[in-house]
Amino acid sequence: MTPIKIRINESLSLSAIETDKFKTGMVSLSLTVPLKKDAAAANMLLSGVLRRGSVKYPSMALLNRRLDELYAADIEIKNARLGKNNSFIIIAELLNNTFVPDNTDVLDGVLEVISDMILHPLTSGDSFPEESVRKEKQNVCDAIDAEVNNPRAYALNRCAELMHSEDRDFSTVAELRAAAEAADPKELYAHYKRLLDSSELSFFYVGCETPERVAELIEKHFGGFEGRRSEVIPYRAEKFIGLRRRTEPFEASQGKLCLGFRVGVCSGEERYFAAVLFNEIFGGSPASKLFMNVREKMSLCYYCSSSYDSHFGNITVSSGIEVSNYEVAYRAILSQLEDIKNGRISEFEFSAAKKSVINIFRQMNDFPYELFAFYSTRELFGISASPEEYMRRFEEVTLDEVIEVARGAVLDTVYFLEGILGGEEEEDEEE
Amino acid sequence: MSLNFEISESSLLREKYYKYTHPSGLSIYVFPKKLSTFYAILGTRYGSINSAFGVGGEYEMREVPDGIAHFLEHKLFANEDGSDAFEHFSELGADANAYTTVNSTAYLFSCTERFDEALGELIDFVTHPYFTRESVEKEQGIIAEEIRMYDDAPGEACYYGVLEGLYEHLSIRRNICGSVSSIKKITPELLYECYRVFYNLSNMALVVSGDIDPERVVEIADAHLPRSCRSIEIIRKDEGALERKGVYRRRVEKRMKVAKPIFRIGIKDAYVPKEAYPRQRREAAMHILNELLFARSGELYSELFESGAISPDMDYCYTCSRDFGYNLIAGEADDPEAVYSRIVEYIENAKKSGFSREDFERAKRVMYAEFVRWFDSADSIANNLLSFTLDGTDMLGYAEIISELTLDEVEALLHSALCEEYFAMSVVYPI
Repeated sequence: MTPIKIRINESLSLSAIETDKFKTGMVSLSLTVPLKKDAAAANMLLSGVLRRGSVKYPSMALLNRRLDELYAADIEIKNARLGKNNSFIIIAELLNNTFVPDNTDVLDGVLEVISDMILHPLTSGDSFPEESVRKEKQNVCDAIDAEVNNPRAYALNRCAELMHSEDRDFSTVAELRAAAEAADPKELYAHYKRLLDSSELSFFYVGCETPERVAELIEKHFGGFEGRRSEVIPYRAEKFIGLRRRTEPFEASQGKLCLGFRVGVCSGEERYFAAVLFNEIFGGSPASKLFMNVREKMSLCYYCSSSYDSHFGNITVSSGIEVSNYEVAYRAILSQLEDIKNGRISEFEFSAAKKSVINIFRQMNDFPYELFAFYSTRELFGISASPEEYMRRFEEVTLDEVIEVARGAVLDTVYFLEGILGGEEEEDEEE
Repeated sequence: MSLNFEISESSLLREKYYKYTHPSGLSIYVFPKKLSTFYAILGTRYGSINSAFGVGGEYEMREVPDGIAHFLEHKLFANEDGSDAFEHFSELGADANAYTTVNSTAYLFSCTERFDEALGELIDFVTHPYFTRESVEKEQGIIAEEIRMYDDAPGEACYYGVLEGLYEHLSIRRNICGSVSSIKKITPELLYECYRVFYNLSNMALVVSGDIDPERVVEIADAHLPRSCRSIEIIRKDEGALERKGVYRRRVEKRMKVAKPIFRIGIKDAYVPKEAYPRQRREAAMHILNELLFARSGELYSELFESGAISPDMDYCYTCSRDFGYNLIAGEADDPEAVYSRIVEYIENAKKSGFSREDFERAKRVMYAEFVRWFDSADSIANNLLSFTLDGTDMLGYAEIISELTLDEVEALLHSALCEEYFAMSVVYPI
């Protein structure tokens, strides 16, 4: 399942995996440029504005009708933050032609719709239509405000904001909201044109068509596009400056504790493989120290897990606890890390971590979207490795290498969302 | 060995699966699929709705604390030797999990190697309960935090709100996890009793999907299953019989930390057939009806979206089982009452004008495409097959039902099922 690469012309490239394994395939198109603070809100607005219609399908309803005719092809426009870069991605999930009961050519149809959305958006003069920008501004602000509806994600976002606060290209949610509110339709259109000018269109396809046919269809629908090879900023680990602590009261019954650690190891580095395994042992799976001890042995929480951001070299622990258990949970989490630093990792923990990670990579061939995420991101950063190569590298990591990476982990941020509603009201639920 | 398999097949999808009834009473389903992933799920017809039950020849009816099915699911992972089934799966490189719904509980794993051992482990731990007072107390702490986590989630509160509006008695109106006070009443003795009643193998099904022969699956299962059937006559409380046809309360309102009001409109289906096949057909017809009324390509959504009356993601679905059925429309709006009125009005107008043949055919296309998507991954195949199986229906037969449905049938349903007396709305307003 290795993609075939085809350079269609200076501005268009394709990676394609031809397979009859799936009934549903995918095609995506990405534009990647260095992330700038003033562009983040504009990119968010763009994904909504473009989805509202194009010259040929001038309303969201007409666009959606066409996609429904193409056997419920699903188009999503999103921004993926890849370290210091932003990928503007249009991704479509579509039925393979072999499972279409009539003679509809779904891939051709979907590429035609995407091309019209991207190359022929609705405009009025040299501006996006004022009305649709105004409404999208509202949607973006509403989506940002709705962050409070999910306290777990809210706490994680606040913790990440604190951790990225020295990065001048990073926007906090509050800054994004202010920038979205201030956006102007004309400037937004100019921003979009600059985006098209400063990147190539790179396509990724998984499905039953031959790469040659996919390339022909791309040329048919996007042949007139002229962009250029984009600049990509490599990963760089964020540095520890000093410990930060913040507690915020919140109208909820449970407290959410987030601990952010600087690990200093990014994707593409030699020690990356050991860092992934370190995170797995710490809190990445039900066999991890956080799950087995903080949850199972101490019964302090329902969830306590860690995740590794390999773009910035950070690990974040997230847990939902009773507010009065703050100190106990905080110490318990740190003591799991101390155990790893002191080499207290059992043979079981070490081999379970390897197996768990390798299992994820082995399953990748079963999921088109995972293949896209793996290959396209690594290609962007010049990492040429297959999932098989990754599995071999994980297999080779030694216990000492994991301990060494763990010893480099420094507690950077302690964020606590303090639930202030208490737990008394539960008694009322008594029947 | 020569085994007696029942085969279900679809020429349209080019898929088939095998069913075998083991002497222990367990139904075994195997859906061969050329993938790297193996997925197995063992489920029982036992969920939160079964908090009152009887046993033929023993006792008529007894009540147990709310949340006990979910509690049992958590506790079944503990083994008599002090180990945890999660650990065993991790050793094998398999990823295990479990879930409890209103009417089922299921244990599952996925892996890419050592499938035989992992399947043996799944059957072993589910068929060997071990509960102690100590471990039950420990779990009460973990589940209390799980309950608090859901208590803080406005989406959950709004969802349960609408069920509280639709039903007066049915236990689906209460949280699947129970409440902090109800789970305190759970004892090892109660867990053993629920286990004895609902985990008898003739009440259960095993589903396997992956690159494996049906004979091999049966051979492995056979080595871990008892030789004979211990059948119990479960008396299930007919909760639905107590319910009125119309709704219990038209509005349920709560106040929580949300950015803008979130709403769930529920439409009670008071005429869900008790027999499996007519129920499946009604479900398919209801899905098409929803697609015609609420889809993003339709007039209603476009109008609400374009006018800014709702936030972009308004979702809808129909759920039914032997004991209940309802449609749900979920979204976020500044004025949920206005959205509610517009939806009711739109439905009344649709009753007068009917649907066009073109829209009907497009809705069928969408349904067909969504159905085909189920067959691309081992987890989606096995999860869906289990739920069809526990409900007593054939998954592959669904394609045929979709193609047979007529416009008249769907319009008749529009007139009979979507009447305002069946409508309730739950709203969570900001504090």
